[in-house]
Amino acid sequence: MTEKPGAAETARGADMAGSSRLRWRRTFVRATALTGAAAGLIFVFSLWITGSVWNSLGDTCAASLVFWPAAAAITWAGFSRTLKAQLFVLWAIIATSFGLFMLVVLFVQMGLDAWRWFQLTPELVADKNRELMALQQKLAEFDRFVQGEIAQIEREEAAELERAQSEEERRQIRKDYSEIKEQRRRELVISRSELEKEVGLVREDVSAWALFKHFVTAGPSSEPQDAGIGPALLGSIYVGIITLCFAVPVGVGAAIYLEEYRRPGPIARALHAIIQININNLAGIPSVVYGILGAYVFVDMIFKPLLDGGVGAAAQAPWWAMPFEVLLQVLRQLMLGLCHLTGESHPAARNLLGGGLTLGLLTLPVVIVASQEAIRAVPTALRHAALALGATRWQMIRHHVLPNALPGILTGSILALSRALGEAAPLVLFGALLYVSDRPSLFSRFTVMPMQIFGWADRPADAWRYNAGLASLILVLVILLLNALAIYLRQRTQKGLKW
Amino acid sequence: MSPGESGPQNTKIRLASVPSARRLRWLEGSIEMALFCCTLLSVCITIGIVFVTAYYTWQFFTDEKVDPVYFFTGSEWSAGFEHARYGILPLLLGTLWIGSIAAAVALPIGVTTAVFLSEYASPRLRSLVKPVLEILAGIPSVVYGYLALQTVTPVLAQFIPGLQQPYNQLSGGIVVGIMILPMVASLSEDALRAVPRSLRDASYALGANRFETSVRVVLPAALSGVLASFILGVSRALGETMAVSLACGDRPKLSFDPREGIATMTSFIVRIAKGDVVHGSTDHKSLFAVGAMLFVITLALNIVAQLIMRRYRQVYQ
Repeated sequence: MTEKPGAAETARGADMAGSSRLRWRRTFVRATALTGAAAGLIFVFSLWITGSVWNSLGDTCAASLVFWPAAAAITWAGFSRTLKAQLFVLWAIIATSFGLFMLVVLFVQMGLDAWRWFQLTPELVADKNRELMALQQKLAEFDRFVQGEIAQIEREEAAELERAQSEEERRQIRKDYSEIKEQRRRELVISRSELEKEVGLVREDVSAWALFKHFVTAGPSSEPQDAGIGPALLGSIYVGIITLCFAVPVGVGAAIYLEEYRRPGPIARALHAIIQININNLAGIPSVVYGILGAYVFVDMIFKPLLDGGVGAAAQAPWWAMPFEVLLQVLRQLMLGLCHLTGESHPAARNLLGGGLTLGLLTLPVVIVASQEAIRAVPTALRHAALALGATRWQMIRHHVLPNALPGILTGSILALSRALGEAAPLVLFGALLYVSDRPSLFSRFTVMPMQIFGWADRPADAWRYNAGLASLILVLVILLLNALAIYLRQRTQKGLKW
Repeated sequence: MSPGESGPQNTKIRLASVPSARRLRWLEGSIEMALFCCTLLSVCITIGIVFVTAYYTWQFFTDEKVDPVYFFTGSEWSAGFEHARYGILPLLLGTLWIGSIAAAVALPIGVTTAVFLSEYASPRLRSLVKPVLEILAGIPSVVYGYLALQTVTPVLAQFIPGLQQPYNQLSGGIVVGIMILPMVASLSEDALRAVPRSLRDASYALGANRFETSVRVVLPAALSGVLASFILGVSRALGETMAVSLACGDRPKLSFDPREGIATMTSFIVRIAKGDVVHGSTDHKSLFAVGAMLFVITLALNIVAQLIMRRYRQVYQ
């Protein structure tokens, strides 16, 4: 083992007493290897004694911060080249598998929690059902009580009637008692309907499929087994659609402009460079900051004035505000019309449309960069050919560049969508953490899947965390599906197109 | 219909469908205008962010409850309480802690992964591993927060006594590190693969083995790209929101113990946005000031990364 790596050293040290140097080196290697092994043993031993890494490291933190790295460095320096190379390969494999390992851990955790959810929820539902059954019995008792009450009143009425002398008096008594009965019955009906409402929540079917269906369709609830992701799922879908409808046309348009409409001249080129740098920087801005922008622009500047019905005080407004006022009123009427169409009776300033547009702003740089790359990949010869045949610039783009860049643009758009679906931070500023129980519409308050998970994962009770796990699993699977679609599209186009 | 008949007809139709030159020019011009507006929108986003954050930050600093000097030097952040004090150091410290823990996790592992994928792995293995790593980048940050609460904290608690449950910086930093790992790995790998083959060949010819070639020749040659990937990764970690506010809680304190929970700038923004803060109150304005700070820091890091990247491009292309 020791002879092998010596080749280079022998060659290097041939003229300076190579053999003794080699011997020294070998001794050094052995000494340091021993030191390292001893250090490792001491470490394991102290771990065994104190029972934890933190104590054995932490109590003598400063010392160990110097000692262990120094020991490791000396040990490392003593290793032969081959050993170093082999150890590095080992470390590299470990490091590379770390990412994959964490992915596995994540999926195992989500899967476990989903499984526990399916274990726990039937029990919780059964418990709840038992409670509700007791309530049902109470209801039956209540019905008996009601009958008794009425009978009592009737008996009293009969007694009164018996005692009454004149027909006039009897009529009066009957009238009084019918009123009393009516009133009593009305009271009882109200309290009964309250009881009934709760009893109506009994969930007969506790099969896994029925529970899952309930989870996917139901709205929020104060009890974990009754809560579901229905509004959040719908909200995510709608927000995703709005995001795409905004980001894809605008992003592709910007990419076309940046790639196909370059103008000569220093000013134009500088402008172009600035825009490009700006777009690259936009991709690195934290998503919360987009949330701040979106909350200001869409909530404070657009939807609040729209909902409040204009700025009022139009008389004192300067003359140049007039067009804005008119525009505001037109938009307001448009919005109210849309509300009417979607059946929304309580439009909110922090609404789905604003949230979707904010995520659109967030994903815009992603779409632009992906589309730019796709457009750049279209060969120049194609453009020249089109232009040579007399096509205008737009005709060339419309009929030749865009169709060829379409798969790349699609891939980028899908990736942007999958990012938008997982993004929650900007929407926190839209109040998306709220209890939203109805189907979201364009101008209503809304919540999305990540927000729902955020709300659940934070709670101490296990049942809520299992809810969060199951919801995460659903969300991650949807996003993975989208990513797989994007990868499939990318590979298909790479195979299909040969320039 | 015979071909003789359809010929002239087609020509006629085609002639009719060709717009006049003037109309065409107008159409082309308007399309270019529309596309230019699309492009301009991206600039408007930046201007909007700068304007909104700057405007409210100005309002925040001119508020009588706020001392601008204390904002940058003060060690107490108690927004949301009575007699609140606004010193950003605790939040800044929290953000830096998360950034450094994430960097400590992601940088060594990410670079090693990059070296392995670029220098050691066969193309087939690379094409298998890379997409799987990219999955990690695509998982929503909320799910990472959930992972921190459900897995990382309980596992760490087995090894580290005194670890605060459920909120601590360590788990938050680790999951954020896992989140930025694919980014660091793939950007570094791009940089490593851009190193010319001749450098490797020269190194091998001098008798170096693969490890020495990749660590002593290729890695230094690609250093600027690798560095840029570090900075971009750290900048993303600093701006990370949901995972951090789930894993680290939201109590601002000047704590140097990674076992405790801490508020970062982002988790403070989430806390304020979550609660019902009166619009226009000092707390509400402080949100914008913190956002502006975050924006400036990440923007500066991004610009530095791009400068480094450009230098690296000049060297090898």
